Amino acid sequence: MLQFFTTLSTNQRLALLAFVLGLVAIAATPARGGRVTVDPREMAILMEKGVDRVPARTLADWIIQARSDFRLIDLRDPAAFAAGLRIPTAENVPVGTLAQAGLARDEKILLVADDEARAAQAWFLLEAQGFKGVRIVEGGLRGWREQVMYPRVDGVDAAQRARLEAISRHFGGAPRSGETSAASDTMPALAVAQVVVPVPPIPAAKKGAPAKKKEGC
Amino acid sequence: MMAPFLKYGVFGSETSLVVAFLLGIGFGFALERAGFGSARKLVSQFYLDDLAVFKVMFTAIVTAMLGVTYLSWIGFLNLSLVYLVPTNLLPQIVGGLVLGAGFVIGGYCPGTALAATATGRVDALIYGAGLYAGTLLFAEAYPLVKGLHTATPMGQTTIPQYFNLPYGLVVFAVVLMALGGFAGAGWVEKKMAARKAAAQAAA
Repeated sequence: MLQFFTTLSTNQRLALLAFVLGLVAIAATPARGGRVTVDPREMAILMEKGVDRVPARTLADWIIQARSDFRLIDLRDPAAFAAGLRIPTAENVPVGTLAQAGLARDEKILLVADDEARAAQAWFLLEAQGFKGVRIVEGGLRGWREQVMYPRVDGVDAAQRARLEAISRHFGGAPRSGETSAASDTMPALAVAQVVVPVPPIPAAKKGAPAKKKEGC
Repeated sequence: MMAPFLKYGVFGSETSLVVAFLLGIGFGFALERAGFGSARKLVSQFYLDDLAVFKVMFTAIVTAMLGVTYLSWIGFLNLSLVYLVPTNLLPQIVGGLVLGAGFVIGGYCPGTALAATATGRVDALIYGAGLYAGTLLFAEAYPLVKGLHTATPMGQTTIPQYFNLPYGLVVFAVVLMALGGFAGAGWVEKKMAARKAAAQAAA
């Protein structure tokens, strides 16, 4: 046996090694899915750096640009989702059904709920299962209402004011300034829920569209 | 290799670009040392004189595949965390043919063109310019080709999943395919060398 081995060239030895490794690998059951260890240090760094969240206005920009490289998940129960304010492109996935929602671990997933707490809980659940691109929408739906649909425009310069106004109009809201808010500090709270929001067409492709390109050689 | 450092904040995204640069230099160096910085060497595989490119690429595939298989078998690597490029069958076949045609005509593929440019080869420089021009053209014409680009989406598909075969069996089959390919390549090279020698003797 050993004698046979010494007669082989280096290439032939390597080929033999590959053959043996391949033969043994028939029995291999690669680790796929299932349990992933939670790494508190890694999570803490994500939180400290703030990469676990996305400001509501950034989300608004992405929706206006019709970007399709993220999935927006609304965590409220279906009744609240159907009755209340909805962010365009949002999919309704209550926390209990996250596991069956067909989310991929390498997708950019944005979580939104009434407030940040519920979204943060879902963030932890997904992170603990090894989902890598999960973010919380800052301020939840309240933040969306205050920052995007009815932003305060006192004390901001004209350019910024025009920008905020354009964004809020796009989503069927209106900017608030000093006078109106002095008169009534109420944003039309839940009444706005009924506003029909122009939904930009969701680009057809969750699956195949502009995924990252990777070159071979 | 970079992932844990980036993850634990040992270095930020700027530093990771520097690391990527160094890795790229290393890759280019390996390509150049293997002789792949020369269009003659690269296209000689299409004339069947020298199948080094084929052998190197298949060796890389088998090595990486066995490494990933064993690392995930012992539980060190979770395969579901590895990014898979989604399969779009039709556009990927078309893209493969376009890249292959470019390879035959230009004598380089993208990585080797950059490596060869770094050693001062003018043909590679022109090839690289064409590469970027083509990329720009694709980006500008995207609305026109979008239908093709997103056609036949199959999601993140793998051969074991699609054909419902055991993972290990596919690994072994690929190893056999590679070994058969190496033996076949060696045979073809010898045959072509003999033919060339005969032609020279005749002349």
